[in-house]
Amino acid sequence: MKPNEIIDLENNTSYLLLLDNKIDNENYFLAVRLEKDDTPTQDYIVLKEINENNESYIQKVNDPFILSKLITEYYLDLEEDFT
Amino acid sequence: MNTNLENIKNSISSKLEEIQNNSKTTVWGQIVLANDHKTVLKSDLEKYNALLRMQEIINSNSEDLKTNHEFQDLAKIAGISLKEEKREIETNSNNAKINYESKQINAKLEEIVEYAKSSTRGQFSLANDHNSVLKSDLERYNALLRMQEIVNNNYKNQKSKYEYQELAELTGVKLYSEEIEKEKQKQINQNIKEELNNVNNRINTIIKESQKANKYQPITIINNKPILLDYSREYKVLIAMQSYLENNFANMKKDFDYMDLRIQTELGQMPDEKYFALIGKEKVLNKQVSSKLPTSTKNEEIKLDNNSKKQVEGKSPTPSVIELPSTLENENKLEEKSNNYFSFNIVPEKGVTKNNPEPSVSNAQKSEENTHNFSSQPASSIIELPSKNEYNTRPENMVNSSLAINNKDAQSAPSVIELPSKNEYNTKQENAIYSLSQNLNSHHSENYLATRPFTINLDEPPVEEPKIKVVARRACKWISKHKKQILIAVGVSLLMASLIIALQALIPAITSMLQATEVANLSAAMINNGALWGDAIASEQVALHAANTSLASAIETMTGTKALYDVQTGIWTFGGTELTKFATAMGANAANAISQVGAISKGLLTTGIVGLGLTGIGSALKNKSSEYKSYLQEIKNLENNTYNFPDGMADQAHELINDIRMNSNLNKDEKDRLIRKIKESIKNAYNKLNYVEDALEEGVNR
Repeated sequence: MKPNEIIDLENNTSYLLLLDNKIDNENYFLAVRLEKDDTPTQDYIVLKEINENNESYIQKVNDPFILSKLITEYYLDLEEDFT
Repeated sequence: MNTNLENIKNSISSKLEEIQNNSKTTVWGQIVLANDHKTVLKSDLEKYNALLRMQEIINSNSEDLKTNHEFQDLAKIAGISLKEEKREIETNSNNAKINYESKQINAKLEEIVEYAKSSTRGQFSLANDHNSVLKSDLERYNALLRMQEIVNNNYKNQKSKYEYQELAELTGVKLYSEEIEKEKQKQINQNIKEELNNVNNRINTIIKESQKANKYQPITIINNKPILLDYSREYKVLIAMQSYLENNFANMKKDFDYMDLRIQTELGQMPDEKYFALIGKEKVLNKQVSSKLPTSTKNEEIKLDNNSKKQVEGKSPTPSVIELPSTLENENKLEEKSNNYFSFNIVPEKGVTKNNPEPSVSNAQKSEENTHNFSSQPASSIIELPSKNEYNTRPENMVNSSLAINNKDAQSAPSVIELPSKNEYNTKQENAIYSLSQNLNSHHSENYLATRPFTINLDEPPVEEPKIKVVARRACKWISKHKKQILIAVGVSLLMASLIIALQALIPAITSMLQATEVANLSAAMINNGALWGDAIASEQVALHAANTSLASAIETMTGTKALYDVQTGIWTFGGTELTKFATAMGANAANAISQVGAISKGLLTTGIVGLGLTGIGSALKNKSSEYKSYLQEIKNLENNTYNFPDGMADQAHELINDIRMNSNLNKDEKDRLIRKIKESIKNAYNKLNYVEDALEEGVNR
């Protein structure tokens, strides 16, 4: 998975991956949920990518400390890469 | 006269003789006149006079007995063994009490008389026993006489409940019970010392374990110490236990408060006997006796009512050895709770179910929850440990609920320091992340946030989210750099606003200095979002405004400053100050704060809490060195210069990475970040090249 990709999940939801980051060799993505017509909602989450048996899974990240670290990075990305 | 009495008489005579001989043979020591005008050693006087009195009673066939127990009492003083029924029912403690107090009373009486005799000046008065004493000693002397009378009557002839005690205070006679208490207290102090050692050892173990934490093990800060999240709850409980111990349990409201805490720690449950010895209470009470006793006890002096007197008459009525809780109600509760503790497997907090509406906090915790102002806590601060039920566990829909600022609640919240309400935090972290900004509506002063203790429940491990299979991946065709920028800005703002609150709840050590940094970050983010507004389409503008509303809500919560949005001008104000000015002021505060962050921030950096919650994005960004920015530019150039790809680029990247690693002006996070960017640049360059090659190939094939 990589940024600018839309992932469709088994539970019939779709997310647009906005930014990625790696902590301890785990891939994390800042993602926004999309409506059926791919319009972005305001439902933002951080997802962890899990690869098992050649299949991809995602898991919502709850740990506030990991989130804190990631959001800091995303914030810096925003500042450094988009301005 | 029976044989026994004859033996007693003989005993008395021989003892009298012995004392007289003793006074004659002793080379030194104070000699005084006894009641029979014979000289005896002062130390033997009491005993001698008692023997004389016993002799007198026997000779008068007990007709002039002052009290029922006079003979027995005198025998005790004289050291004569009486083989009578009554003797058997006297308790040792009563004897000891009478001995102890009588000796003092007599010694003091004698001292006053002797002093009067030796005084050549001063006004003299006749005491109640017709002895001449100094007028200044008269009151005390008469009080001693009255005490003597009470003691001789086995404490039964007191005019009021506390007469004897009041007299003792006046005369300086130490009550036997006080001595007992001292001894007991000595033992209790020893127990407390040992327990304190146990607690301190456990605290030190936790601190040491926490110091070994790796970068990504969650850490929280308690009392300026980084503590592993796994241990944080136990650590706080231990600190609360420490507080009880250091205060000799004076601050403990209920007998089992300490036990409630102890069982939540590695130290575990304490045997009941040991526990009661530790807190200095009697566990088993004689219900039959105690229930007859009045509930109010002053200095363990207990007067029996008539019924009780009848029931215990003939037995030692001396109350000093009986310890009672302040009320019988408490006693019952004590026993009831005792049964709970020792008969059932009660697990406070964790055992709570939905059917139990009350949080299973300890009584002390519960009462403190309602009444305590944290500013009044001792330095070590008793830490509230709310149970699971104190937090809202209902799922929240992330976005819509987090957009609106619930000012109604915020305005109605008191400005004084208060405990968070039950619904202020969610136990599920997913909920905490997305809905805290909604739930944390109350206005708290900056001081509150700076000083408030850890209040979030941490004993529930983070909820493991289910894995969801990715069934399809596709490229997003519509996203431009600008759109992506807005989406990221909105997303980061929303997540940041809620996460800062979550982190503040998790990390009590956040100082006002760091808060200033965070407020500066939040207001800066609002300005950034505002800057994106102009080029945004309508839906994006709505999103940006929602993000700013969320950020404003976080600022409101942190500072207590009222946030207002003027729909006509599109300007946010905080406490009447425009956002831009407010952000500038906050930035200045933050700059000052960053320079003072010191150990806390460094500690957090090393322990991996590099979040916006504490170290501050602002500090990360605003303090970026020119070297960092220079490297950043080099990396951008690297990505764009694909003409020497792949070998030249790899060499250049390798050189750059080494250079960054060796640079002592960059901190670890900056280095990690720059190196990650280099890798991403290479990847991007590779993708670009592949894209070009694919396009070329496609063109050729076409």
